Amino acid sequence: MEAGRIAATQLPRTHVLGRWARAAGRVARFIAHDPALLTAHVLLGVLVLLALLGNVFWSHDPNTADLNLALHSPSASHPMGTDSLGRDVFARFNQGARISLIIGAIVVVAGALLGGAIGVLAGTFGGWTDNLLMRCMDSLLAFPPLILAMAVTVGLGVGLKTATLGVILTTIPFYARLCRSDVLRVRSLSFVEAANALGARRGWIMLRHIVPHLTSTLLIQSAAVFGYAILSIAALGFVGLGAQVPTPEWGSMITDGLNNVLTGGWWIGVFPGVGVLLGVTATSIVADRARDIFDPRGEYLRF
Amino acid sequence: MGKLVLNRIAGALAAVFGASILSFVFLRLFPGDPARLVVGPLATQEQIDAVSHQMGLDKPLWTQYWRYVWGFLRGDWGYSFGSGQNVTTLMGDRIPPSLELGLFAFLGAFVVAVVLALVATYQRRPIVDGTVRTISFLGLGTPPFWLGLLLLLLFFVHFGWLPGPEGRLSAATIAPPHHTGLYTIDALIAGQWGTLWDAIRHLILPAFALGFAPFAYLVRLLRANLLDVSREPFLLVVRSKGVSRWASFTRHALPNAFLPTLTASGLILAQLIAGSVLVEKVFNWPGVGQLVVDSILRKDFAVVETFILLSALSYVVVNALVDFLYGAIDPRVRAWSPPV
Amino acid sequence: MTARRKFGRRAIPAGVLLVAGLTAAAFAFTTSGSAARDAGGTLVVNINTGPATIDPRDMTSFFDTIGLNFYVRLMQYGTKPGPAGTQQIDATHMKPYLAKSFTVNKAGTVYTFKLRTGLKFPSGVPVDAKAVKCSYERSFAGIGAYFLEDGIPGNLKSVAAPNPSTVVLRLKQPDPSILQGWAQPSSSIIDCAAEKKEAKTWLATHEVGGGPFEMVSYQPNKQMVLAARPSYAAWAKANGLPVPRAAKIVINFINSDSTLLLQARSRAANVTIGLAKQSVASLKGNGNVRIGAYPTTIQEQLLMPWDRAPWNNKKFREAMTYAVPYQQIVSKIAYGYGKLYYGPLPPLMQFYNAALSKPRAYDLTKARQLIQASGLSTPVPLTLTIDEGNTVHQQIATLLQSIWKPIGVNLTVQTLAPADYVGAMFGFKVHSAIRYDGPGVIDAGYYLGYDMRTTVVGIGKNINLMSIPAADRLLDKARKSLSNATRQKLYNQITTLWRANSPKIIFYNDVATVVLSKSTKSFTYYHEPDMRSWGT
Repeated sequence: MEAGRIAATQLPRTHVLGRWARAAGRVARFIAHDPALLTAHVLLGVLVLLALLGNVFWSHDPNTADLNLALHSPSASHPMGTDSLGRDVFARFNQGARISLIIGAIVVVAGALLGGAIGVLAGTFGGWTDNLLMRCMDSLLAFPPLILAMAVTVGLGVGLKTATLGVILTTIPFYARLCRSDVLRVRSLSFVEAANALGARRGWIMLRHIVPHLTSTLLIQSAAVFGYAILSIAALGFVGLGAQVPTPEWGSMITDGLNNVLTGGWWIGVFPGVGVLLGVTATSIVADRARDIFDPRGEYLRF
Repeated sequence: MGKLVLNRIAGALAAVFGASILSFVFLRLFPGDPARLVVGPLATQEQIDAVSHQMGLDKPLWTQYWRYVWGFLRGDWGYSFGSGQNVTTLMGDRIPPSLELGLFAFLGAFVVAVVLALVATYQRRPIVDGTVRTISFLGLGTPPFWLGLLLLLLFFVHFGWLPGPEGRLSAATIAPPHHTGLYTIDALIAGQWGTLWDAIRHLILPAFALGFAPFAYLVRLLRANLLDVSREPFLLVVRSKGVSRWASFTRHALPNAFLPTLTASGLILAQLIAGSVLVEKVFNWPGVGQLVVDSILRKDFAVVETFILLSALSYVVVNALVDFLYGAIDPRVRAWSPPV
Repeated sequence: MTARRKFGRRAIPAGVLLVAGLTAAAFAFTTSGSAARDAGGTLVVNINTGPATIDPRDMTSFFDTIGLNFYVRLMQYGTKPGPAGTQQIDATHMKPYLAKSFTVNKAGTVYTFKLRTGLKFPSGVPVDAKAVKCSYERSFAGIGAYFLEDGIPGNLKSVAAPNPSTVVLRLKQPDPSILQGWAQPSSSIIDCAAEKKEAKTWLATHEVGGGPFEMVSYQPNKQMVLAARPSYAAWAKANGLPVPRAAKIVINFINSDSTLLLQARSRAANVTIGLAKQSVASLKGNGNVRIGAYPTTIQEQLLMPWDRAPWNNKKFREAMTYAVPYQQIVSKIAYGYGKLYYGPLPPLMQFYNAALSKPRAYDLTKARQLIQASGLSTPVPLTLTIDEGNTVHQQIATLLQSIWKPIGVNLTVQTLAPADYVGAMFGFKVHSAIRYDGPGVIDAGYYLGYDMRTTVVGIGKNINLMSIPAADRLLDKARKSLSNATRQKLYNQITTLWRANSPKIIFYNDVATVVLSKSTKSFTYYHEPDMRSWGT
């Protein structure tokens, strides 16, 4: 650990690389020195690779059914076996990784934007705006998140899109509460008070002085939400409220595995679960470490 | 203090009220006609209208909402057309199994978490500490329903040590006389040891699957708190009085480390509710979680709305209780006014 | 600090208290205790779905018809030997039940029933002609009318009870299969006076019958316990009718296939109904159980509503009937429990003509050519609706999606919750759907009356929205005809016309499976679960 730090500072400062490259280098070295963080990044990297390039180096189509190949156990030609319709589980796993990662990203971005906006509005304007918005958020929080997501999905018509909407809705109050308390903290800082005294408009103060301070908060929270999103989508898929056939979504693949648990075919459900496990664990390690480093107060909400 | 409590209660009520409106609106806006479901496919439009009228579905929305809230308060939770029973009876039937499972999962998670956290912090060896941390991370990332599947594959299909997904008892075992609805306790009361053993055997796998995530959460929290507390000066005083290191840990550090754990109980409750919805499906546990999933799919309004209100209520009550307890017990909290 | 530590000790109980508080809340509920199961003379029946109602007037699905066991009817189905030493239904030989005998006038429109006497409802009221009349009138006011009239609207002109042991039923037109209508659960005889005392929906979960079994307890979607009714047993014995074989029947409704399978395996259930074919197949060779496989008149089919594109194109419909790997579906999805044919009438039905109803071949080249000939531009978009939780439908849909893509048909699968699925189908809102369906009355005329006829009583149109006016005319003729030869000729013509139109895809004719434990010696398969002969 110590040796690595010294080596890092002794590196010649090459101006060619520029500021960003140096920053990236620092982050990379930091990661390399933390075994847990390194593992997490390697796992996420593998998942991303499979998601992006799975269909390039693995020629099987995830949706081609061939009943003659049904329920084959893992072998060289089908490393994760085949399901009850003879589809290649590995190809479906890769496709499932793509779906989970994309949905995770969508949920994070949408949740942060919507929840962040609500939190900033409530925190900046205070008064009845704050009260109304926060009471709404409390109502959402009073729902068990999964039940809320399920109700939204069924209400809007079962599918991957509506399931994603449902999950986004459950993340909004977390973002909103966090951002609001951050805004309250920042608002009382002297530079904001100074801007206020100088007669700057509230909207301007919000954009120019408060929002930039939320970046790290949002980033850390987003890492946790990413894992939560993967898990929730899988849970919705598991109860049949997520992806529609034949979409190879991890949760619905696990249900398929459950249907085959007594009649053979362990591989159908086990592998997609490993995917969820790795994805969520890796992101929660990243979130946890980020929290330790950037925010020792530990006010962040964990799922 | 009084104002704070009032504020808290008002906030809690507002949250429950909001949740009731939200759930009501969601479920009413659903496409599909529940009356059609009741009368079956061959019914004529008149019959559908008649049932619709009988169920009050033709009334204006606000009347329906009022009926729902007023009914809930009076303990009349409506009629589940999906199962042809009163929701109150249905819930009374389905809550005890979930409660039993939740209790076992929670107790198991709590005990093991305390032991592991103690060992990890007491030993202070990187290997032990690393293992505990890994387990806690895995716990947070494991989908409970998948863990259930895995456990079934291992302990039922492969080894055959524990019963399969057949619910709370073997088919040959007669349910114990009804006192609490929790089979383990009922069997104890009746002194039916065979039934007790059977019930426990059926509880092991689902409780494990359900308790793993709360366990992981608790072990992290306890470990962090133990580390914090063990650095406090009062422990040094205790040690200097000649108390052994183990005794100072278990008798003085551990109890103090529990306090922050209390704040997590709302979250753990939420985890248990969400988890049970999924785990019950895997093990065919006849609990409220399965009922709710089925009811959502069947658009059985009354059941879903009741469940949402019940869980919103318990969530709010638990959180308020925790706040209150905290304030009553820790004077520092009372001094510190939260940034409302 | 003192306060903190004090609390610290109480932290564990506090955590427990949190949950314990909820426990206390649950104690407040009253639950009916599970019925104790005693071993002697008890038959355990596991079924995958519980009834929605057991009110005779409203029973429509197979699962509802469990309620028929509480009542007697004028007529009953005949039986014949079935597989594995069991008996099975014979719809061609209808037998009198409460009726001792009956006569028909020459025109086939007036049925006069002489009733057996001596049977009484628990209230002491006799099960006589008056009871028949009021029961029929009650059913007639509801969905039951469809069965009472055998699917011919307005055909039951009057029900008369000239004296306690005589019932006269008058029809508008002759209908040779009407006797089946009067053996249907909807034609059950109830104690009208006892029913009137109760609330409107009371009969949905209770019984007021005088039939073979009485209800001991009922927890909807969980368990129903039946016991042989002593008054019925004495009456049946005196009249030479079969006496209930089981003294007590515990019916468990278990909607999880794995639980059903485990209990069948462990012999916890005497009779298991509704087990998935895959699970049934996994029991082959298991020494603890016998598998009974019975032909039915139920089909797994794909609806092609004719009024919308592309199904309004006859060539395209025909093309798709050649684009289904029938053999593979039967062997890998139905695990062999299915029969192949293509025509309006399934093999078990009287007037089915095997030579005319040969199954379509799986021929993708031909399908492709036909699609080209249809003039439709590919890819053709299609939405296929299936019901949530139905593994067979999901598998077939996914398979078709994969197979049809290369021939230029893009299938989108829409999974609907059961309620929406039924609603969408009967609201004629589906683009196409996979449907598992067969008639309650095992008769060609009754079946085609709702499955093929352009207009259908109650729902307006047939669910496939097919319209072959020439075939409709032939059907109306066949339904009135009293000569089997004439009917056979007419149904042959209908079959040819039907096939020429390729109205829908029939994946297979279902073979029902029932798993019996070794100790279950006596079993008769009915398309509606009449449990009189079931026993150890």
